[in-house]
Amino acid sequence: MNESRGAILERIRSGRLGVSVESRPAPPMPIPTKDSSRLLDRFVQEAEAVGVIVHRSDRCDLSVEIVLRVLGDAGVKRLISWEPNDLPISELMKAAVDDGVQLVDPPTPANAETLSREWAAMATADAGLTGAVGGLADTGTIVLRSGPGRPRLAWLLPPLHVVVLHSSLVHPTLSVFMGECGELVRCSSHVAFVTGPSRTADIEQTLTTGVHGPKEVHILLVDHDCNPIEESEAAQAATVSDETRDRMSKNDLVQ
Amino acid sequence: MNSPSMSFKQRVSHALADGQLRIALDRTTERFTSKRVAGLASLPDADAVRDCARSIRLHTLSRLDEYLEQFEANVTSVGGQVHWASDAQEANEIVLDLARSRSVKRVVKSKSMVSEEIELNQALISGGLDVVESDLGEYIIQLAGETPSHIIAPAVHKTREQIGQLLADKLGVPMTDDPVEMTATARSALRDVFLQSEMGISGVNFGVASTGSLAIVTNEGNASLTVTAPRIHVAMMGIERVVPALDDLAVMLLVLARSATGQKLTVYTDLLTGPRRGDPDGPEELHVVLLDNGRSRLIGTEVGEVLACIRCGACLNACPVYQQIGGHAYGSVYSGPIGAVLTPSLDREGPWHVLPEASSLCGACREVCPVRIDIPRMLLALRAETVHTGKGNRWVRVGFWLYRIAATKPWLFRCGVSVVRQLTRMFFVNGWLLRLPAPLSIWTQSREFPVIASRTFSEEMRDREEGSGDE
Repeated sequence: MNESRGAILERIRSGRLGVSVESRPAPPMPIPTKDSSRLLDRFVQEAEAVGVIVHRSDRCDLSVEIVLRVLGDAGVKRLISWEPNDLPISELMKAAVDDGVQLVDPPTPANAETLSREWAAMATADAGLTGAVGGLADTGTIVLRSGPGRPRLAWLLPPLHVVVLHSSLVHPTLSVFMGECGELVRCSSHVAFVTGPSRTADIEQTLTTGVHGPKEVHILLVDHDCNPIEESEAAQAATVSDETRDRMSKNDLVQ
Repeated sequence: MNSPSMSFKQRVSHALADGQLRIALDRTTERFTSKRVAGLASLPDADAVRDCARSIRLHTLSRLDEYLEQFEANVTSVGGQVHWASDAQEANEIVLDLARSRSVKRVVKSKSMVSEEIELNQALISGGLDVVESDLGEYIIQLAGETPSHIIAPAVHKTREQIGQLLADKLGVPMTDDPVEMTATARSALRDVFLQSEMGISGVNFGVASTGSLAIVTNEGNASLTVTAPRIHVAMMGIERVVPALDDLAVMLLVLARSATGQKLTVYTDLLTGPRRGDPDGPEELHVVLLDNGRSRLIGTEVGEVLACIRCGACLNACPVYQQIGGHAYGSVYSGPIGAVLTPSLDREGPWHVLPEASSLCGACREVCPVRIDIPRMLLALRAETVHTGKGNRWVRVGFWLYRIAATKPWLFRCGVSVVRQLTRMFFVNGWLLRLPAPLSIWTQSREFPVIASRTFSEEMRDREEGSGDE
């Protein structure tokens, strides 16, 4: 194995001798939007364009009501939920339980044997409830981050995914997000950029949703603070910095 | 890469005679092409972004050894393991050893061109493992016992009626030609596979050197599940797939999905950085297999630029040859214009020197390439190499040798033309020759040959000059 490593690198180096080192360009500046309300409008518009249902709320009780209604309408009985502290609205999980929804326990990572059994249980969940660490306005994308209390299967396995996103976490583009939140990538095993419901066009380019992941994705975009998530390290890294806001407002180029 | 049993010409004839294939290709390549145009139009300055994407790729290749070492160090620092494989056999052995030493029995795969290239599935299956492809297109062709015919739409050669029949035959479900029903069938069949497999094998779209992250994109979410549910994640990655940092990755992602399907971003863009760390799910082990298999040798050569390819498939859809014959006729894992360069470059011993001929050099591939790879230039370079190494068609060589002699002696050229003209005028039908004797019959097998005009251009000119002199 080490022999191959040396041989491969050696072949690259000897081939490289004749090649001039190309300069690495600065990536083109992302399109800034003028103000945060336009940013959010764009986010909603793009998310809807890829088939997501977006709800907006500026009150905590309204947010809870919306989520319960979405779960109720879909007839959800079993739910995979992230820990309350990882949802922008901490009382959501409890409210769902009070509403008669059963929580599917995430598997404990310690025991591999237990793991496979628990997953069979998770496969029967009707919905997943998560909290995004970011949104991308120009593509309608939500950014999710795995970690303790944040199982990935919540956004992957059930047919319905409900994700709560705080409006302060919406970034104009992927490039801006990468620039601001690179640290998130470094410190999470899985950062997912999810743009719409799972889809395929493998049969004659006919668009079909829900092939492996959720068939339906609901984003609840909230403007209020119900959870001290801002204090968490993740949210701090993900919040759009003042510098970006300055840059965004200085430039009048609007999409 | 395995050599196909039929000759290229036979494969092309086969493809052209396949009515179902022609229908399927017509329905899809056209749709891909128009979606791509719309996708790029959504970028404010698509040309500048493409230029930038190209520079990033060329820059990375010009310092590939450094970025690979940095990538390896960072994958290792987040708890992953990097394995280097010089060729297909070594890569297959690495994966097989990993599976055996961890008592793996079931493997779920998400689409990986590298694994097709090294024929990993066959290696694992002969090693006694159950291997299931999870991308819907790949799943369909695995059921059919075929190989992919398009980089991003592996089952593009099949009509929905054929797929419905296949699912009915293999899974015992009622026959349908409704893609929605067929998709639901596949979802339920593959559910258990994800949750019961001990090992998930994925491809890699980009490896980020500065963080050791793997970027993997799908629309179905099958790669996300493949790298989440099983205990072990093995990522198959060509050594050229590195980008320096996250902001470079963002630029590449701006053009990848747009060029492939016209989407702004794929539904699932996963950034995986090491195995799980206290997460309730996700793999306990992460292994990255870095495959060379002929790539490192290309750096600094005339075809080195082919390593900038990001496997979007746009050149396949744009190619008038691919549109007619589809992917299988190429006989290689990588088809279309990029395959016609990549295949003979990676596998010098194989019977691939004929592939660069499968192009009219119209330049459509270069036009649509998100990183502006000059495919026609490399096709010509490969054709020249074929001639120089004496692998070309004997008759073409003889023909050009004769032509050189005639064309450099005007009297001989004139004689030749007049002889050929007399000959052609003896056998024509309505101004066309329907059949020529061997070896020229190669031409008339599929088209007519025009009769040479009664007067040549130079004869005409001479007469005119003489005529004007009289006035």
